[in-house]
Amino acid sequence: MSSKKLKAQMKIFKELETQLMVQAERLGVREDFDPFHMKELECDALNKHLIAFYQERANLEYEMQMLGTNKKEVLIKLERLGVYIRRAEKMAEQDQKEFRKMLDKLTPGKEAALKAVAVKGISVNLGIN
Amino acid sequence: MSSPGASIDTGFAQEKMYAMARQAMRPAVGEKEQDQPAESVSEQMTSLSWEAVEGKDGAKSFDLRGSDAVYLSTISAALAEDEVQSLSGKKQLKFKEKAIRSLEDKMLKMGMECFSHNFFVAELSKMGVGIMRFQLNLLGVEPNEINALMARAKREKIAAVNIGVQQLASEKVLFGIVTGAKIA
Repeated sequence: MSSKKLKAQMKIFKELETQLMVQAERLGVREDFDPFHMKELECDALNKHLIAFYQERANLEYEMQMLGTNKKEVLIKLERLGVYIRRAEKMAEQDQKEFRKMLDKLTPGKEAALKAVAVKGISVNLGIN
Repeated sequence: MSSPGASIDTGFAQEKMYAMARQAMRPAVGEKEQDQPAESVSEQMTSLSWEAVEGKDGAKSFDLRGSDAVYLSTISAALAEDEVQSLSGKKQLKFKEKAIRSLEDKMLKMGMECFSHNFFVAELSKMGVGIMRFQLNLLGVEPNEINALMARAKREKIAAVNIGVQQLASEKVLFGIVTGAKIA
């Protein structure tokens, strides 16, 4: 796909998102769609697509081995699917990293709390003395 | 109208002169009326003046004020009510139920459109909702039911927006996978 087409498609996505956010604002639910939630939705969608790709790969392999269809065609499909799966897995890894960063930003006192818990010598007594 | 010699003391004579002057004026008014053909007839309401010219009605001014708006809406409401009652009187047609159902469906759609991203669509839908609220009132639907309908429209719109956002996220991800482009 040429860069012009890519940019055009990106514009469409952006426009759709803007329209949906305007609608959400008019409905009074704009706060529900914060960047964290949007990232979560993208992660969910990515996982769903990955599962669908794995299923498709399994189906194609079964078709090739058991049903004896046109192997060349199936191999081409498998190769393409393999590329998609690798890309999706890479994207999932990146998303997880970004997700962790966002979580760390949302919980600024997390590291300090972990350090405090890790310090030895703190004891908590529960029960009656 | 008073003559140069008239004074307060000559009150009675002054009245006589007044009457004479009026009589003298009358033929002139009559001539004026004869000159003008009876083409235009104007009728004045409190703030809305109508003028009929050569048998055609035309609004001369449309400076509607509160009392006129109430007056006109009452007339139209009464007319519409009569029409609806005359139609709903026939039980075989079940017009009322049909009308209510179709109006409710329309109102649900318009209620959803009230939250559209397009300003004009949203404003027009709000107007439409107002009209339908009025029509449903005429058909005997209670305001509570209408409000419940609007609340349902809002709920459905929220659900639609949620699904839309999910679909958009899915499309974005799929596009990124297929093309290899990084989407912000």
